Amino acid sequence: MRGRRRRRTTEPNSRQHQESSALLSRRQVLQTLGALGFGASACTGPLISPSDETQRPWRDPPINAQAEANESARSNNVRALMDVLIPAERDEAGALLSPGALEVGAYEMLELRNFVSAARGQQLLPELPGPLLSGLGGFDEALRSAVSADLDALAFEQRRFVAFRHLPAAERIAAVAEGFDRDEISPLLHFVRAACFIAFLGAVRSDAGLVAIGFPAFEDFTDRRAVSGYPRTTSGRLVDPLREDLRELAARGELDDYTYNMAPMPTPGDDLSAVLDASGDLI
Amino acid sequence: MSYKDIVIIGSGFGGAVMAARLGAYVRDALGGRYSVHLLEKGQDHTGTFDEESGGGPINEQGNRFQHTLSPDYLASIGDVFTDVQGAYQRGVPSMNVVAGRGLGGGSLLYDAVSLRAPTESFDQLNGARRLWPSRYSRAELNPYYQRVEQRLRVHRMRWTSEEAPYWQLATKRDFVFAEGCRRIGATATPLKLADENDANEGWWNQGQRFSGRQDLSKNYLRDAQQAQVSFRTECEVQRIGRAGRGYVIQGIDRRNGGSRAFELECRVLILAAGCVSSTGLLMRSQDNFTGDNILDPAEAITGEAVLGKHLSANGDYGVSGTIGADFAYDVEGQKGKPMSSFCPSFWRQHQFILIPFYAAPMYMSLGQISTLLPAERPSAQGRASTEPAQGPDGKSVPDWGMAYKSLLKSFSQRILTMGCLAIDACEGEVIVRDDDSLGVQWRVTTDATEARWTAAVDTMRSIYRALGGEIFLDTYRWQGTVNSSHPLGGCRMTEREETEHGVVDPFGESFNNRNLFVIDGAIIPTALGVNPSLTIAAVAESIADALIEGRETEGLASRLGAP
Repeated sequence: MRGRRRRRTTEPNSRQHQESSALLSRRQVLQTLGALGFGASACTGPLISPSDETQRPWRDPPINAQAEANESARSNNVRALMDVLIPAERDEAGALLSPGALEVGAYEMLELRNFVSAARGQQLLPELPGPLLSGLGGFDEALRSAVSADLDALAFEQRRFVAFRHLPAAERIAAVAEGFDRDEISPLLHFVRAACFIAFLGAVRSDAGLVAIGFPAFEDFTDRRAVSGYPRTTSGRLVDPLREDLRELAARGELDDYTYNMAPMPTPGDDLSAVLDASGDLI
Repeated sequence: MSYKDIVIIGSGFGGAVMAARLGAYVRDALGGRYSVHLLEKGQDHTGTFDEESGGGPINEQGNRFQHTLSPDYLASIGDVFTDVQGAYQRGVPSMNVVAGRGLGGGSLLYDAVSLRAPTESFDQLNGARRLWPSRYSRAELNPYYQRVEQRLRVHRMRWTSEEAPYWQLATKRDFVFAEGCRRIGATATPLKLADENDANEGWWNQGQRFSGRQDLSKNYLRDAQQAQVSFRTECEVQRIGRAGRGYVIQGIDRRNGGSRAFELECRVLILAAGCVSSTGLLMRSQDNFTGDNILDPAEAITGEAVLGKHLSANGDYGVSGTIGADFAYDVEGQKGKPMSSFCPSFWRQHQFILIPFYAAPMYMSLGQISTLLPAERPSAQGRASTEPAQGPDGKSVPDWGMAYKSLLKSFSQRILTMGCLAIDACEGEVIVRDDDSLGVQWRVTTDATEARWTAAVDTMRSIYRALGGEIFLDTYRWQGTVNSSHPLGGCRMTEREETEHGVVDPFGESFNNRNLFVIDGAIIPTALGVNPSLTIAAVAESIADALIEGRETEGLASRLGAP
């Protein structure tokens, strides 16, 4: 059963209507994403053709008089989604044990200016003129609105009349899993997923994600200086292998090295002299 | 309009060599009476070649590199050429190609592997026709390989500090890989690399903070600078055409945040912008070369274009997987050099080599290079026959959520990435889109390439299993995407009497346009099966010698009108 978008009630001729009429429709968001081509790196299936009206389960959003309140509600849905995609881990008291997507700035990655630079780096975009970029003002809000609407539609199938962000954790996960299986919804979810993983593993705004998976912290994140140079002690001090006894450090459990300094066992019967010359080149 | 006698577009392994050699010749033999000028679309990371170039502050290592994975920064030092159309359609073959951007070209991004191409690479045939011009063979190129190795200070890695200084040792990743090879009856051996006193900083292929990497600014480009070659960076050439004294170059100057059109005239023009960029520049400029000067004579002869075609991915095929929880040694792939060993045991039978390497977790979580997803049928063969494994609920195992995050946490200890380089059939092509941007395509994989990749994947799978782990779903079998860091071809060289088979002659010169050259990876007519930087530089050295000596081709002095 397809979810239905909740109706808002606002006078269509109000001032808010005139302001909100600049909000891009979901169709326009998809068209823009398609034009940007950014979904190519995020999607694993075909994007729904945004011109296919029969595939759209809901209409363009009606006017909303409570724009600010709804924006925060929408953003909470998006934040809740990000916490499903890469969850934070907390103890019983709520203290953070391991960061998730939100903690490393994924929400801020979900902005056009960040996507544009990433898409440029992927050669999915030519250099965009300034007027075009400024003409896409409102895209960020529209994107979050579209994602939030999709999430509420999925949530409706779990529990009726309950916003996505208010679902129990297991049902939020089930809703997201269902969303990834829906061709009309999965493109936007993949887009958000890409933002989460770029933020978490790309050290864009924080290196906490990389630290969470076992990388050392940056020497200086502001200066963009990652850990460089091995061997080191486990406390991080750079070691001079010519002056210090690495075996002694290792015996004390203090050595953080990049090599095992061991030759692998030979392979009986595999004679490389038939394929390699003395300098290590293929013959 | 400004004029330079010799203009070189691009500063990678072709352009840097030509700039150094021709610059020295002009200085020493021609009295410095002619100008040699290099245009580079990327930045001067050293801040010492182009005085008018901006950029970030110079760090204590004497360059502007950031040691980071930020996508914004990576976009400033590398280009990704892609196939937007194919990428949207599951099952339709698609392609991504990575290239360096900046002074030094590919040397800014590469893993410094410096292998000579094997004999078989040069002897490849199409029917009865040898694809390489006859002047090129492994034996013929050996002296030039040696020359490049000396200039780049290439040396061979070792396994223990009893054999070599500490900075030359292979990594933990390589040791694990070597044990996996041993368990399947194969052998891993240390690689030859172009690094020098490297600090083993890890993450090496994302920019370069330390002075250990022998990027081209430290050797050939420095030689060119000393030979009074002038440099202009952040200048992207859009089109070329014929002009009174030779050629006109049109581009955009983006130094100091600007965007100013420029034009430059020259007598001798050498395109060395990289495989995709050089080819694309010629494709975009075809309207400026008509009649007797057409750039692609093959199209006039056979009706089929050669320019832009026969793009090789060099058989690149990356995979990732886990090693067993019980295996005694951690991978710790993010430490040390990104590549330092390889397995040549399968070259004779299958013509592929295997190399373990560092791949950033971000790339694999975004499904580039490979994935971190279990495959439903890892034993499945062929490209379109493998799907993500399903969980107990019948849905695909998700690449998000707590379980995926937990898998990522094992990245350092248990996840090993490796890939093959192989002989492919050059099935790709360079395309120019309606907006003039460049892309690549790969639409059909030949049976021979498919079989070679299947053999390589089977071998890699057996290595993971021998180590107690399992291979993950790869992007080629799942999405049909060929990811290559070693593109070759697009502007093939061929014998002078075989103009229907190539775009340039054995010296990189356009058949119909005297003094217009392409001297970079674009002219390499086949896959090499090994990392290509050394071969591109050796070919450039060989052509430089021929031009300087006037051997088998018109000498440079004559081309410049020197008395």
